[in-house]
Amino acid sequence: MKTLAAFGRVLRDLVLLTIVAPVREGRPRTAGWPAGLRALLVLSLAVYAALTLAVVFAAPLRAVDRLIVLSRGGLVPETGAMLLIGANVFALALLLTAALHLSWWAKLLAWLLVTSVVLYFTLGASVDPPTLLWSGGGLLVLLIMIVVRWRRRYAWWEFVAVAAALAAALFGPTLTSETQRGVNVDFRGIALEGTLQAMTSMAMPALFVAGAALAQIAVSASFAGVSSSVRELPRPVIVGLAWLVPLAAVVTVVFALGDAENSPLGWVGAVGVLLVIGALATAATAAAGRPPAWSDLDEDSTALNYLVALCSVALALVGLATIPLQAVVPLLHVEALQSLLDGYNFIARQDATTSILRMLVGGVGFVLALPLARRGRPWPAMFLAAVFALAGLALVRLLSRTGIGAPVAQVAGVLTVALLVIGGWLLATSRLSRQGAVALTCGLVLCLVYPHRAILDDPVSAALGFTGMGAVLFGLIWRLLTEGEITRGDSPRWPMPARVMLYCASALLAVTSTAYVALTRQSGGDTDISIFTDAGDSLLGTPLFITAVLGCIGIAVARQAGQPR
Amino acid sequence: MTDPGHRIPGLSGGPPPQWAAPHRVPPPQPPAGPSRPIREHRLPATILLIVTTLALFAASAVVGRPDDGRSRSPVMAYLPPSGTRVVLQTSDGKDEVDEYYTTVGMAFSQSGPSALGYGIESVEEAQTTTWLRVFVTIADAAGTVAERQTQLYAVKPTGLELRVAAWPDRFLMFKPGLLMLPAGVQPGHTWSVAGTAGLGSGAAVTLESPMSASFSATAAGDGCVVVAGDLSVGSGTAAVRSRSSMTWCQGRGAVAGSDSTRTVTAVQRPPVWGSAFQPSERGPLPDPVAGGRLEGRDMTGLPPMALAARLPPVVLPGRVLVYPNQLNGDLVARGWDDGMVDARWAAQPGGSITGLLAIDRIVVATTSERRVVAYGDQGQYLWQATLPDAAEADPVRFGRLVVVGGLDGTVSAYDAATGTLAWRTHTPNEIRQPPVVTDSGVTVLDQAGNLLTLAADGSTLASFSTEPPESFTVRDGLVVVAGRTDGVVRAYRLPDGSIAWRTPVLGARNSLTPVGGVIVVQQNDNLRALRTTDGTDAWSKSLRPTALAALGDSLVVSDVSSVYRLGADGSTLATWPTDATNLDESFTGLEVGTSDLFLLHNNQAYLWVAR
Repeated sequence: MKTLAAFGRVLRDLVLLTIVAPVREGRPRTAGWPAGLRALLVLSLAVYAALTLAVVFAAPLRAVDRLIVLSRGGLVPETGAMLLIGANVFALALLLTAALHLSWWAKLLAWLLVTSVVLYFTLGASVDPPTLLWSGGGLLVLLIMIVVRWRRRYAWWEFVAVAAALAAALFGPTLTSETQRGVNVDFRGIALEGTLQAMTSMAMPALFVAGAALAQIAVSASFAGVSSSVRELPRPVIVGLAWLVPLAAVVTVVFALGDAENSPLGWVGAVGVLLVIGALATAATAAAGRPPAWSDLDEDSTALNYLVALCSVALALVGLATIPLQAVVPLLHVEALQSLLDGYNFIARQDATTSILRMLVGGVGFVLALPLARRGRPWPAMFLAAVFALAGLALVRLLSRTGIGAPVAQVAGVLTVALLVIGGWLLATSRLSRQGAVALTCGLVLCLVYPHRAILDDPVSAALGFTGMGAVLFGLIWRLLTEGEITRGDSPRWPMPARVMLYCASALLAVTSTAYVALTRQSGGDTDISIFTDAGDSLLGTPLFITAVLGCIGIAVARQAGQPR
Repeated sequence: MTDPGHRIPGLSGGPPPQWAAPHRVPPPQPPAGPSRPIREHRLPATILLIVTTLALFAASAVVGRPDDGRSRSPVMAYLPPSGTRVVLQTSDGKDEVDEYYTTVGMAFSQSGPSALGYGIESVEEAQTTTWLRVFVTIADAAGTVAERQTQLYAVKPTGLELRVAAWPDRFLMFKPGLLMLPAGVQPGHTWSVAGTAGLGSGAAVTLESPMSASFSATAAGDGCVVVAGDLSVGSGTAAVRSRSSMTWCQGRGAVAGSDSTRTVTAVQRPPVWGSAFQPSERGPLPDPVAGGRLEGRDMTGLPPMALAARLPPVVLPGRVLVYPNQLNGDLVARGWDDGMVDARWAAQPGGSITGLLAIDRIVVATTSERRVVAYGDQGQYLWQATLPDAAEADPVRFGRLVVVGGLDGTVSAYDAATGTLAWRTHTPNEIRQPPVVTDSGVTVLDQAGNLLTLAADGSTLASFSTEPPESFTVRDGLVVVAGRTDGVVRAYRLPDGSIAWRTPVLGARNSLTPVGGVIVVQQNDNLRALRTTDGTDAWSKSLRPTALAALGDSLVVSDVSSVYRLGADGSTLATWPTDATNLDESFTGLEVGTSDLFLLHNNQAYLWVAR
């Protein structure tokens, strides 16, 4: 009975530490907010909830609602189209209002984004040039807003003015175009598809980070589970588990070795990439001048995740800004500008560009993080080293066309072997401390759990009737619940109201892209957001997993001063 | 993360957990309030923000929405929705099918016939008026078409005006339109029309005569009204007089009618000619050889026909190409040798066409209105069925069955001749890959990788999970799947799903085509052939494939400008250039019809002909 109660406490701790505490810490706190900001947050949450419901009930909605045809043949329910267009425009208005209080480059980027969305919306009405005055007027008002509100404090009416100007720019031409009425095609599909294409680029960082949510939870849950078990469970149970976990690890490795899915090149890639990461992580800890500690692994990775995601999709974001330029530059006949655009297009088209960019993010980030490591924070450098090495392997795979890679299952397998060998060696040399044993057990549990982090994705997706939605939806809701902390800061460069509106806009953009894919059943296409969440899982989740396990190994092998053996 | 091995205060009885690394920067404090009191008007601000947001969503609901014209005239209450077919039995043993299409603006005219242009007074009228177009097909039990007619009505606030009635060889137009059904018509109403009637053929009016008509309405019960009319065309003793009647019912259109030659009455059954369309076995494959060439033609007919297809057309026997017209959702049939004339026939399945299939003399279309609709080779409506969700993958032929995989994971099989639902089953997730038919059954694969192989009676022959597919095919008892989430092509054995081989193939795997002993992987700039037996590389070819089709033991493939016939060993058996340089834009299809090979790109079609 006592043992059962202890297991109950372990479970409670697991839930509290893994789920409740991050949510409690991460929710936005509205006290002291200026007028209108709370209303915008509540409105955003209402729209978010409606979009989430649209994802969950996409199947029945598709079955009963009229289906609108998109320009490339996709079909979206009419109610869903209204919701998606409305949510997009709302998010865009939030983004632009936030940009009024941010740096000049954010203002420029936001205005270019709006311009490209306006281009998509007014495509159908462009045969009636006078109606485009609505767009020109709306964009001009937005420009004036940017100038007039430069360095002013946030005021609630800004959102109203921005939304009105945006609505005029987007809806005015279509509403007033006689030709559009004469042709009488359903323009909503074209507008929606074009807008989503532009907005999905903006949502990419958020989707990347959402994709890493399951990885973060797997790591947290593994550590919290071991921590709580060691604390709560009776000693005989702990001893039993201490044998059971390595045994399960051995069995898993044996099965992994026999699995035809795990190719020899995968094992080679996994070993190679782990050796590189291990070497760079050792350099980072050497720079810190101390062995790894639990506090290193306790670093909140959200900000770093966003930074890495943002830099990794920088090219796509620049591409967004080039949409209006692609239309205008050829008319200007400026050779240098055209060459610049052509150069961008050439680089963006190359298969290797993504891997090279990620390598750069990881490599440059590692170098930049070394001073931080010297100040006692080696974890960001370790994480960025993993980003660098994994992107490097992806590049080798692409260029060599050999199929070499480092699938998560094989990385986990190699790490498991390393943990077992190190544990055996420490045990054999009587150097295995209690803390070391706990660290190795954490690493082993993580290696066992991590490859199955998306275990609920298939049943949830089957329940929703659509592929890949379980993990995406979970990641997005998790982000919404836990990332409100960003809204609590305030500085002249990043004022709090702008943070709140960016938080809302970013969440809305991501869930709108998700709802679009769910409502249109466009899995596998250009707009399939699971591509980005999967990329986030591999770009941010796998490095987190690897650095967490390497950290465990570091803790286990480090001589702990005063630590009882 | 948590520090294992340490007791965390707050859990299991202590105060709440406070877990922060000692060096962590303290979280920023909430901003201090404004330094001086500012009147913030919180309530008006909240209300205005809510109103603004609601206004954005309201605008999103209405802007860009096409006008269905239903509110423009009371007479619309008598018209059924677009894509409705009314089957009428004629007194001379035939059936008539009336197919309704209503729209505001020009879309009614974009499948022809050209004579419809005579129904329009001005471009402005064409753009602002609600139009009713009715395709009428009369045929006997053998499916022989006795009469084909297109009627164009203007739906005015004053009522329904017949503007043009066009037959394949002639047309009749009225100026002003013949008011067939006044708005607010009541039993006992009488009205008359006078003006000009024009008789023409092709695209020209050959004879114009004065016209007069008088009509009267009587009650027919059940929301219906009988409109009887006398029409006189010409003057004096040369005038041609005719008497006819039509029964219009609310929401159902014209359900009965009579003239001097026959009477028609609506029936609730498929047309009599259904049994005349039994799918036969496929004919011999074409054998294009190196000596031939590709002859190209623009398949657009007489203006105002405008073919804008998103999907490749299908080919019927007799070199008839049936295009799905994206502009209005019509099917438009054009003969290869027809030249610049009207379409052979056009049909309106309802909604937008999402998939197309030709089975012998039958054309099957799936539509955005969750329907499967079948027509004969002369445009004779055969049957329609309802799908639980729309389908984006083309339907496929499985013996006598048409198999449709839906976006809700439903797999439906219909008898191609009758439309009877033979069986229906489900996969858990959406189906976007066209089903693959082999001797052993039809295999469907949903986007999560749930595979079903089904027999002709719908029984499950195999069911297992594969990787989520980017593309797949079935060959020699193997299901070959290009995984969407990794760069690997895997072969799974039927029926147990065990893996036979796996081969890394990086980059896009747009399609897998089995030819001879290899599976050809279509990549963006490459063709790569893997041996079916073990997945090893057989050959690769550097070209930019735009369409592929298996032709016996050879492969026909197009790039941006030419078509090639490749042997299963990768050797080039023949090359046929086209005058196009942009076959990678929009759609390109290769259609292997009976004895014919077509390359289809937008409105342009290329037929392989011997020199």
